Amino acid sequence: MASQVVNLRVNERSREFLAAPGTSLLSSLRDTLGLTAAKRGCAQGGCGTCTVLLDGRAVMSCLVAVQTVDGASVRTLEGVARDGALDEVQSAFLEGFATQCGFCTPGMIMAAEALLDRNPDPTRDEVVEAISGNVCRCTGYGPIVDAILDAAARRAKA
Amino acid sequence: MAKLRGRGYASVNYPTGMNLGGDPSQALIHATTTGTFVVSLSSVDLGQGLKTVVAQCAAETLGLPVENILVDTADTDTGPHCMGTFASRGTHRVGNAVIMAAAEAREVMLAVAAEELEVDAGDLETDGTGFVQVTGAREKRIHITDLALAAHFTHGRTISGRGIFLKEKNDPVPETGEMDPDSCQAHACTVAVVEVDDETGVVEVLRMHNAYEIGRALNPAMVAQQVEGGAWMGMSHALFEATEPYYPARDHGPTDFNEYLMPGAADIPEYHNAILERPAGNGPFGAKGIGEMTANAPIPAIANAIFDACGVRLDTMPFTPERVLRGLDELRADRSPTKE
Amino acid sequence: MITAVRTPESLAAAVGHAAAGGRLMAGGTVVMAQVNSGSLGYTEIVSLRRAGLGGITLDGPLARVGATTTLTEVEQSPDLAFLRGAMRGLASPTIRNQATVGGNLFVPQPYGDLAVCLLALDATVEVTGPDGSREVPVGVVLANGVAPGEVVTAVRLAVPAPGTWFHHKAMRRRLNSAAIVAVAAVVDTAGGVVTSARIALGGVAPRPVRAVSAESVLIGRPLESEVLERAGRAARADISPSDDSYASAWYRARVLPVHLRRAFLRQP
Repeated sequence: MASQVVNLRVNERSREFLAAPGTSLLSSLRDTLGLTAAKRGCAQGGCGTCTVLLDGRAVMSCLVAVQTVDGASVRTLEGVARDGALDEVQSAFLEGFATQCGFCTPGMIMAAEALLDRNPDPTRDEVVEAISGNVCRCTGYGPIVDAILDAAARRAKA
Repeated sequence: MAKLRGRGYASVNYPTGMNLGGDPSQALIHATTTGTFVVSLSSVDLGQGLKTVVAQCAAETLGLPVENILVDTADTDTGPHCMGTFASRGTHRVGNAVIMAAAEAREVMLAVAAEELEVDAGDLETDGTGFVQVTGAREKRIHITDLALAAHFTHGRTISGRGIFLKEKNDPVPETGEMDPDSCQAHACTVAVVEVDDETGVVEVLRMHNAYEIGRALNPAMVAQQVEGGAWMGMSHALFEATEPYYPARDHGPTDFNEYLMPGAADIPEYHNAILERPAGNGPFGAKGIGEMTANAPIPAIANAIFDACGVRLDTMPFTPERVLRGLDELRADRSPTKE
Repeated sequence: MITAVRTPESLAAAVGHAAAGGRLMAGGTVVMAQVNSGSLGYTEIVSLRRAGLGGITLDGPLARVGATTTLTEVEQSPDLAFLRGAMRGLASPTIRNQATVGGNLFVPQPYGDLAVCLLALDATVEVTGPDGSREVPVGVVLANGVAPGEVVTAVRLAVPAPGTWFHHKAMRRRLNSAAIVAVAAVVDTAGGVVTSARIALGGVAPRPVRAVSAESVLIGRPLESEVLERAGRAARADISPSDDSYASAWYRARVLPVHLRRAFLRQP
C-alpha cells in the first residue's frame, strides 16, 4: 500500500498531507508540517518530549500512527500563543526560569495545557502527576511545577 | 518496621577551567548602525545560560541596557575561537573575553560621543538607559542609536572591540609538584537528610541544604537553577541511575529508555540553598564557574546520610534498595543472638 | 517495513484483517514503539481505534469494559472508582490517555498492572475470532494469549463490595514506574477472619500470578501482621521473578511479604 492522504485540524487550521504506513503523528508534525516544537526524544513514549494534544487530551505523538487519527484535531506548542502573545503557561515558564536547555519544555507546556484545560485550579500533587510522563534533565522539576501553578493563578485572574 | 532518618554531609572544591595546552576563548563586539551591540562568539549555550551571562557582562561593561545586546554564537566555522563550554569554564573565560572586547568598544563609543558633543571623552559617562552624557551636565547627552548612526555615517568609526582570555598552560614544578592548573576554585557543601525504610531498603531524600561559594552570582536566578538542577542529578546518580548496576554483568541493566531509572517530579526533596560570594580576582566581575560541580557533593552526602540513618556503608552507586537491604541484613545477622 | 495501516470500522473487518496476518494495535503504546525501533516483525497493522470496542456498561455489580477503553476512561469512571488508585499508579496520565484495557492483557510483566487487577477480580474476557466468539477466564488469556485472528472485545468483572478490594504497588519511584511487586486482591472477611481470598501478584513472574499459597494461609485467619507475613512468605512458592533494571529476582522475593502485608493493612 502506498502513502495515504491524512486530514488533521492542526492548531485550528485544516491540514492535508501524505503519510507512509507506520508514520507517527510526531513525524508528520515535524517532518511534513514543519511543526518542530514537539521533539523526538526516545521513540517509545518514555520521555514526553513529543507530547501534543489530540482531540483535547495529552498523548505521546511518537506512539500515534497518524493514519489512524484521520480527522482528529491536534494542538501543538505552535498553537498556544494567541496573535503572537504568549499565554499564561509560556509566560510563567519564562519568568519563572523553568527552562534551561528547553528540550523538555514543549512537552511540559502541552502537558500543563492539557491539565489546566480540565482542571484550572490544580493542587501541587495534581501538577506533579500531570507531568509525570515528562522527563527533565536540567531543572530538577521544581521550577516547572511552580511555573504551572503560577500559570493557573494567572489564568484565574485574567 | 521503621523509617530511619539520617543526615550526612559532603563538601567539594571545584576548579574553574582547565589546563591542557592553554585555555583560551575569544570574543568580538560590534555596534550596528542603530545601537545594537552584537557579541560574536563560537561558545555554545546548551541551556546553562551562557548567552544571558555574556549579555550581562557586555551590557555592564558598555554601560548600556542588556536589551541593546545581541549575542550571536556557536558557529565554529565563522566565530572567534572558543575552546568550548565544558570544564565549568564558560562564564569565566568567555565572560572575561567579552569584558575585554566591550571595554575596547566602550572606549570607541565614548570617543565618538566626545566628538559629537564637543567635549573630552574623560568628561563623559553612560547612564545605563542608553545615553552617553556629560558628567554633571546630564542635559548634554546623546542616545546610543544616534551615536551609532553618527559613528558610521559621519565619523567613519567602527564602535567595536576585540577580546581574548587565555589561561596559560602551566606545568608542575618537578621538585615540589606545585602548579597553577585552574584559575580559581569554587566551593560547596551539601547536607542531605534521608529516610531509610528498614524493611525494603528504600531511601528517600527529604531535604538537601546546599551552600555554594562561587565568586559572584552574575545571575542569581540562573545560579539557583544550576544548584537545584544539579542537586537533582546528584540524587539521581546516587540512588537511581546505572547502565550496569552489577558491573561487569549486565544483569538488571536497562534495555531501553523507560528502564533507565531517574527520579521524577514526585520524588524531589525540599531544597534550602545559599549562595556565598568571595570574588575571584581573575573572574569576570569576580565570578567563578558553577557548571558541573552541582551534582557532586549531594552524592557522598546521601551516602553519609544513609550510613547515619541505618549503619549501612555504601560506596558504589547507585545506592539501590537492594544494596541497602543487603547491608541491613548483614548488620542484623551480626547482631543476631543466634550468631555464633 | 510497514506496508499498510488499517483502521477498520467494524469488529468483523478487524477480525478479517487480523486473520490475514495483520498486527492488532489498540493504544499503540507497544506496537508503535516497535514500529519506531524497526522491530515490529509484521508488515501490516490493524488499528482497533474505530472498531466500536469502547464503552463501559454496568449491570448491577457487573461491569463490561470494552477492549479499547483507555486507562484514563477507567480511571475517571465513577462505576470503576475502586480501580482509581491502581490506574494512577500506572505509567503517566499521557500514556493512560492512549493505553487500553485490552492492550494491558498482552504486555509482559512487570508492566500490565490492570491485568494483575483483572486476575484478582476473576474477570472474564470476551474474544471474537473467525470461528466465532467465546468468553474465557482472564487467567487463560494471560497464560496463553489468543489464537491468531482473534480480537479481545471486552472484559467483564464484578465490582467488589466496599472494603474488599486491596491494591498496592511497590515501585522504584513514586509515579510512572513498573512494578517491583504489585498486589491486587479481593478478600472477604466475616467475624474478623478471612472467608475468601483472591490475590494476584505482578512484577514477580513473566505473567500475573495467583498467590494461591498465600490465599490458603489467610482463609479462616484475621488480616493481621503475623498472618500476613506468613502468607507473604508462603507466596514465594507462587512466584518466578526475574532480574530487570527495576529490581532483581532476589529483591522481589525478599520484599514480597512486606508488600503483601502493607497491601492488606493499607500502609503505604
